[in-house]
Amino acid sequence: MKFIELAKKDVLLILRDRKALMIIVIMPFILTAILGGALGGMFREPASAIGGAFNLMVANEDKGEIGGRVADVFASADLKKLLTPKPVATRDEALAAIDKKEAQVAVVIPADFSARVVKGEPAAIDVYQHPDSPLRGSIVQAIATAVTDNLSAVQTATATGVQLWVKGGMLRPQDLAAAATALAGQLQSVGAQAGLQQVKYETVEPRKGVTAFQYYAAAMTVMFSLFATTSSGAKSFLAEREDGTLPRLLTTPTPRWQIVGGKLVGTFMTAIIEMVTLIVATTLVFRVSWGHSPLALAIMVLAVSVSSSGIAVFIAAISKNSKVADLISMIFIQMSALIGGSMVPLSVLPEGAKKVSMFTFNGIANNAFVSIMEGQPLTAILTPALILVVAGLALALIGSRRLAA
Amino acid sequence: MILEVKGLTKSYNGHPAVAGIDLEMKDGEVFGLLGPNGAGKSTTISMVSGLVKPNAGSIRIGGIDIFQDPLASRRLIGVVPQDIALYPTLTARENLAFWGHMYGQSGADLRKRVDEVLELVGLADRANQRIDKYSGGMKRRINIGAGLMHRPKLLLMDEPTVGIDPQSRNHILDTVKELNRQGTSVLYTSHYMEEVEALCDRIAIMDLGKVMACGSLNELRLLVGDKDVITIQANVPEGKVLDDLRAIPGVDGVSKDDGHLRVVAPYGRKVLGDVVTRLAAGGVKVRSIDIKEPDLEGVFLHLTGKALRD
Repeated sequence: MKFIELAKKDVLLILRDRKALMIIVIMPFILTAILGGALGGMFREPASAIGGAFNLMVANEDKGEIGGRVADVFASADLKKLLTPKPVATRDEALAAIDKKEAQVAVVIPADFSARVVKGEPAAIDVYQHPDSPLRGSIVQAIATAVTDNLSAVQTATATGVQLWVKGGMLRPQDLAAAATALAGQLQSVGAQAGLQQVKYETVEPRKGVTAFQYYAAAMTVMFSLFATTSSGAKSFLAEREDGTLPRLLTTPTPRWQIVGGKLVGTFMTAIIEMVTLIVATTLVFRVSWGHSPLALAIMVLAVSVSSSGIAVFIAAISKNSKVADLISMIFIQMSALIGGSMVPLSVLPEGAKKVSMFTFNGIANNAFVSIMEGQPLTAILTPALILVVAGLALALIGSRRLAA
Repeated sequence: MILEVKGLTKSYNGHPAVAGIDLEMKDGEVFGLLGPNGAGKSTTISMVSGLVKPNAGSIRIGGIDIFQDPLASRRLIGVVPQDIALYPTLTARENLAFWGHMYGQSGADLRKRVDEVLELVGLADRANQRIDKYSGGMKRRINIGAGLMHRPKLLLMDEPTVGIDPQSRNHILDTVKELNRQGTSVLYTSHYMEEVEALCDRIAIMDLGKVMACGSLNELRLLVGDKDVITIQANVPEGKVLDDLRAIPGVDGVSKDDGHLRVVAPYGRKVLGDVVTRLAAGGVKVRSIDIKEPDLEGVFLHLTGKALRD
């Protein structure tokens, strides 16, 4: 088939074009390195960043029994592999240790903690984290939450028990405080034996999240697939016209549909090469995990390639010459990248912007790749893949009809 | 007939580029379209190759109406466009193979033909070099080669020697002769009369979208009759001197280009004295004078009253 030869020729031309390769392969690679490195704080720490046990400053300013028991929770054998508690006397010492990066997270049990628990008043444990350690911070936060939930149950039981004793005349009002402390301590012990203080780690992160390198590897791969197809694919349609090779092609016994089809397939192949190259390169160099479903990844690569090729054909069809195509492409790519979260992560955008991004090429594609990286099921990417393919084919059809005319 | 053109007309914005021309080309002929820039030669070639749709008229190639069966007629023609229409970052071999594919060739036949064409255009030793490293003349030779891949019956060549060195030009002219010797018919447009005189069996002289005359070189010369052409090597300014020469009784036409002045007259020797006198009066320094039988330039001058390169 002649259109295959046309497509092969176009791919060869791209591979021989150093400037084009610089734009579609080297640039996204460099941008992934820069953005992934610079904006790491906006994303989760990689699991590997946790490494072994991390230092936790524990400042127990409370002299009561309950505060001591809470401090003991962080020193329990169950958490030994996860964290290493470093007792300090005051909140200021704990915060100074974080400033000096001696620890990433600190827990402060306030001076009135036990008293508040006994009185049935709200009591809080304060958790501080270094900005570079959001994951460690959230782990400690989850443990503290489990402890305070446990204490709430004890509080309720204590209050109920003491009230019943007073009502039944079994306790004098002047002995109330001492009895409540004794009962709370007893319930704590019972609770500990019943396992109430166990921390459920799976509740720490309802959604795993991705690292900055993962996010930007996906975002740049998607964004530069548009560069690959529009600046090379769309331009190639018009360059053939401007360089006289299209008129020459039209003097050969090659039907117009084969010429347009060949250009379309060549553009599609260029997008696939760009995406596969970047996926392999970011995996090898930045150790980016693209998830554990090669099938889901293949589906998205194909869907994004179809869609970006359709966009390229459409831009070629509405442009008078390659300069106009360049201009339209640049505007489209920049807008879609900005709104679609290729530059700034969607998580930091306002809610309205997040909703709009889901109607952009970049937004749909980025989100689907992130879903694959998070290990979500295949069904999570089927709808975005379908939307991209349908939109791409529709644009390719409209553009092709115009170009073949 | 390999090519039959009847009543071919094309206008752009109301201006006729080709105004109802008729042409017939026999099998095995080298047929020249000669005329100045804007005469309608390239528009005619574009219509014959199917790129431009005429406003009126018919074109048959090898008996096939090109509008009724365009794909079949395109198999019979090879087109060599005026501008280089190749892929600069591909090698000569890759370019030829690609165009061969577009004409339906493949496999061993294609590879063999690529080698043959490289030999024919004299670039077999540079076959694997990217053509953006080629000289202008070498690119033109590959540009011709791309049109020969499928052994066309009719080769359409639109000003194939524009802007190249004499050595490459001679190579191209030799290639055209060799192709014709192998049986290929060639429609050749040029505004270089020397090329057309050297190559073509028959010539159509075009001006302002019309065929002014058509025939062999000798038949065209007869149109001028037994008039002489006086060729004078001198730099003559536009204006009064030329008007004075045209006013000499017995002078039929005067033209000038690139330091040459041409005067057509029935009896060259009779008017020569007046011509020299008026040139001297105008301060023109004459370097040489020659009187000979009319060439195509003279024929064109006789037919249109102006020079080919005016």
